[in-house]
Amino acid sequence: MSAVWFAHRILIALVLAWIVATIVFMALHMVPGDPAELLLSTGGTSPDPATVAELREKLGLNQPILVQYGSFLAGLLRGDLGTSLVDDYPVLSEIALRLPRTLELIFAGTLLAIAIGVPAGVYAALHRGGRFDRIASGVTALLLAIPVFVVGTLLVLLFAQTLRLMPAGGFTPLTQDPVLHLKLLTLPAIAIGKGLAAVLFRMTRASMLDALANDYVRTARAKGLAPGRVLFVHVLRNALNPVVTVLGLQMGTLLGGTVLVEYVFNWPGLSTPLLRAVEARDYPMVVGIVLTISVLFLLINLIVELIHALLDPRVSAP
Amino acid sequence: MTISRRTVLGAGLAAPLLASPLLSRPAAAQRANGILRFGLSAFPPNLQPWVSTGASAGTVKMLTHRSLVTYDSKGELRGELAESWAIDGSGAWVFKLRQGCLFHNGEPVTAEDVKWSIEQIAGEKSTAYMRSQFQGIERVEIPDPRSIRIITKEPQATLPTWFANYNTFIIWRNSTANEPIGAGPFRLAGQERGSSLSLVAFDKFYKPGFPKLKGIKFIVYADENLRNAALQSGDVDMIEYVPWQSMAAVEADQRLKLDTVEGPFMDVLFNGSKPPFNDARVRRAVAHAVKRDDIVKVAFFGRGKPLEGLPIVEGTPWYDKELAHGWNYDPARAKALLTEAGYAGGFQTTLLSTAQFGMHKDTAEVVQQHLAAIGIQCELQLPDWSTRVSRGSRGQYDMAIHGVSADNNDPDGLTVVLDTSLSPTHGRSFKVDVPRTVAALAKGRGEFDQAKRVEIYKEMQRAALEEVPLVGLAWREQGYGMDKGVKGFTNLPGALTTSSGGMLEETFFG
Amino acid sequence: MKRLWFPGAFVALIILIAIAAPVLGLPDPVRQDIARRLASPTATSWLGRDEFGRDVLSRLIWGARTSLGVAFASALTAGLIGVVLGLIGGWSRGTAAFLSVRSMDIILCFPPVLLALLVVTLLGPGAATLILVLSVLYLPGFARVTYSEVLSVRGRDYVEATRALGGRTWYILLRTVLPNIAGPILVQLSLAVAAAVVLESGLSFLGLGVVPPAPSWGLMIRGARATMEQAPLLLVWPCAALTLTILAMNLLCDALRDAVDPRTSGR
Repeated sequence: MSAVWFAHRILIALVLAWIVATIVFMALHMVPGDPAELLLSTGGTSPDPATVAELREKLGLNQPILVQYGSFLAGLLRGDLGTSLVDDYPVLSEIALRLPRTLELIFAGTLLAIAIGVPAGVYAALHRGGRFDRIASGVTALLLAIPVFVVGTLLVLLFAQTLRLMPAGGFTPLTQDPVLHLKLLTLPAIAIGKGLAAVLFRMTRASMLDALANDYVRTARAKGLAPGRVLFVHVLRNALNPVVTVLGLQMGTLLGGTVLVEYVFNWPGLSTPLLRAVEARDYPMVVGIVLTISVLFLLINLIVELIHALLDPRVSAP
Repeated sequence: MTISRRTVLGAGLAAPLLASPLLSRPAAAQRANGILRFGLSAFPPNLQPWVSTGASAGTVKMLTHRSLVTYDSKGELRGELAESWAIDGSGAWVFKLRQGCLFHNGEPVTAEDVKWSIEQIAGEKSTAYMRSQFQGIERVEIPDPRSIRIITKEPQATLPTWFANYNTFIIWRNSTANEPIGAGPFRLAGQERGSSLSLVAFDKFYKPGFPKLKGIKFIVYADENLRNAALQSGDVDMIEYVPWQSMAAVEADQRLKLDTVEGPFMDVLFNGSKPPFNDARVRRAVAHAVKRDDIVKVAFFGRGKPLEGLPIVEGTPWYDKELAHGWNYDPARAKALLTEAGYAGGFQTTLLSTAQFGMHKDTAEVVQQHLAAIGIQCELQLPDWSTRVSRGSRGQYDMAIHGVSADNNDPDGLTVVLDTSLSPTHGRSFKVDVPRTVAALAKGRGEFDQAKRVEIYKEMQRAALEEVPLVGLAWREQGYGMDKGVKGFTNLPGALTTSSGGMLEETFFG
Repeated sequence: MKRLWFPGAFVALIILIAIAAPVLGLPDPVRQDIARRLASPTATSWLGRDEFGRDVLSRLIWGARTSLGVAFASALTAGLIGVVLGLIGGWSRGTAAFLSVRSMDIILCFPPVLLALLVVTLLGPGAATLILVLSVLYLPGFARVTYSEVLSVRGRDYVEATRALGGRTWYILLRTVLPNIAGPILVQLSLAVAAAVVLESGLSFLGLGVVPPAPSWGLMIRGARATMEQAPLLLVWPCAALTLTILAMNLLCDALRDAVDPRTSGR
């Protein structure tokens, strides 16, 4: 865990982020669809091609792609991600406004998933084949099987439309109304956390079983150590290793999962503008958001590796 | 820095609106302070007054801006900044301005502002929706401070309707590009990007007693199920674009009412640059092959009407019962037409639509099935909407499904979908040759006599039924759902339904 | 080995039904009958009819072919390539390790739906595109799990011992390391198949999945969501099929792990 190791890691992360941004930039420009034409076709109207041409010129889309890429990189070095092609709004401001909301959603979902998935997994492994184990396995399958957009719709139908306990969706800042804020957070957090809870349950259960069967556990038991101590000191520590890996991996999936959840619950996070920007071929917005997400992911990655090193001293960086 | 200020303003304004802990039941409180909560289907991409960015943006723009004329609740033209208009002896249109109209900054609306706005729309570098029409204006004169005289290069019978479009507004002539100042009944007070917009009544609006509401809060619900849920749970007072599958539930709800009109329509477009669809007989075969009822049932849950002719609204002078069913469902006739064109054994082709919108996908599936019945086997191509648009305007398809509404209820409003001699776009057939239809449209545009226009447009329909610039499939209902306490709103007839947002100026809680 | 029977037969049955679809004498799954749309279950159509009046049972079984085909093909492709990359990365260290691990990071940097959006818009929607997208998406999962398992296994006594005895690398990997890491990988596989089917439905919801009118469970769920209030049963069938399949896969993978991993079989 030296400073050199750390600097090395950060350098790699930066290079990766640059590669991702470049891939997205180039791929987007290859995808059919013209941002100017699309903007002027909103709602199905047919724009006059001369108008489209004028807008293309105005937006700088007629420049060669390498020139556009060059000015994108130049902006990036200045810390400027450009402005939206749709309404000229700075990409960075959009991200600053929305990223915290998406993170909050993911954080709440993850917390919920850990709180339910990990203890349930440990318990099921300790009582393998028992009633809880079997029921939980069935519930897990159900949780994994029902798509987020169906769960979301069902939750809205039940809690908002029928029982009228919750608003149908939306967002209000925490500082304005904490109670309403949490109310609005609940349903989307459930929708986003349910899959992860199932995954964590499966993974915890499996690696617990693995760890329980290991030689050192047998040895520890043979030595007459108290079962609780064996469980927490030896088994959990080893069992959680793959769980942390999966958790780190699932962060990407969660970020992706927010696309549908934000849509279904009207949560104004970062995924909604991403989806909209891809649809509108709003190049700077897409590249900026993806870049943010990849930096975020690389950061999580780094943290996961650190946790690994703490959990299992034998693991060190390649 | 205007944006961050707006955001802060938006947050500040949103606070009292959302602060109530009983968000699901604050209807009474909202009514007392006269603020209508309206569920929009999409966040306006931007609010530039002359650029077309969809109907949701149009709804907001119609309230913050004002033009020379607008549509009343029956869909007839009504004076706004202009109190009267007429054609003069030399064929030029003259508009008389109303006295005492003010922009939001307190400046009076003058003939200079009107002239400037027209010139901006028609400008060399303009990206305005009405740009090509306005470029047909030769010059604008100001004979006296209250009059505008518009001289066009060719006679234009429908010029006043240009000013009723929600992309044609009069803007204060010293506005900056980023902050256009209009003269509408409401001012934009703040916005939460992507989620909501707040309007407050403009206190110096020229019509006494209007707007009746103190403010409107637009909240965006992109997902149709959620938009409907928000209406039914009382989160909002009113929504646009009620999903068809939910219309019955809104009607059945005692607290709610539904206002629908058949305005937009679905159609089939063709690529006429290559066989087989360069042959009008093949296009007519397609027209006779599709059972429209099925589309209405599947895609719109019965909330629509078969369209077996050109999209001319029933009840208007241009409507003709026989012509309206010129493409009736008749598979035997369709087969005969195919045989006549030399395709007795049918052929393989493709049908372009998009999976992004359910109605486009569902319509395509039904059309595919019916075409297979007469021997036309088509493979569905369902890319995302953006790709669909791009391929449409580049002619990279054989047949395509489209859904749109005309610019207005005058047949001239159909030019944009029927006139295939205009440069190609995704909303009309690609290089399909329909000379008689195009000629009739041009003739109608230059004719001022109503009786003669009716004749011309009937002739146009006859020509189009044979030449087939598009195949009409179905009218679809466009519905607004609202609390029963919301009064004074009318869903405008026919193609004007997307302009109904302007009626919010007359809406009130009763 | 006994525990393998039941889940094995369960999964085999599901796969068999899917494969046998053409000979089961089912009605045409794309044949519309609009007059009978949203019809309730009857003697001739056991599960009723969908919004186009198509037979739901027939679509469910034909849809299994598409959905399971896509899911298995992508999970297996991803599993195979991912495990190999993970083994290389975990065992060799050095440049090969660096490249195999870091290239996965690039994939992980993309939010899955965005990756799908980009690939689908570039290549056009369809089953082949879906398999490509899904296998790319699940690749890093396998590589990562394998990699971290190899890292923690390679230092253990029995591996060191085999190595000290002069065992060949591939032999050690195959006979010593792989069985020891099989558990988490099989779990990952079952999760990937399940997730692939669910993601297929999510992509179909956004209009990026299988091209209609071909049936798939994802498309069925998407269609049923719109008619949820009129015909809620239409939502139940594909979700139930999905749940059963995932349950069966989970059970099978558990049993497989027990069979492969000698350490847990005694318990």
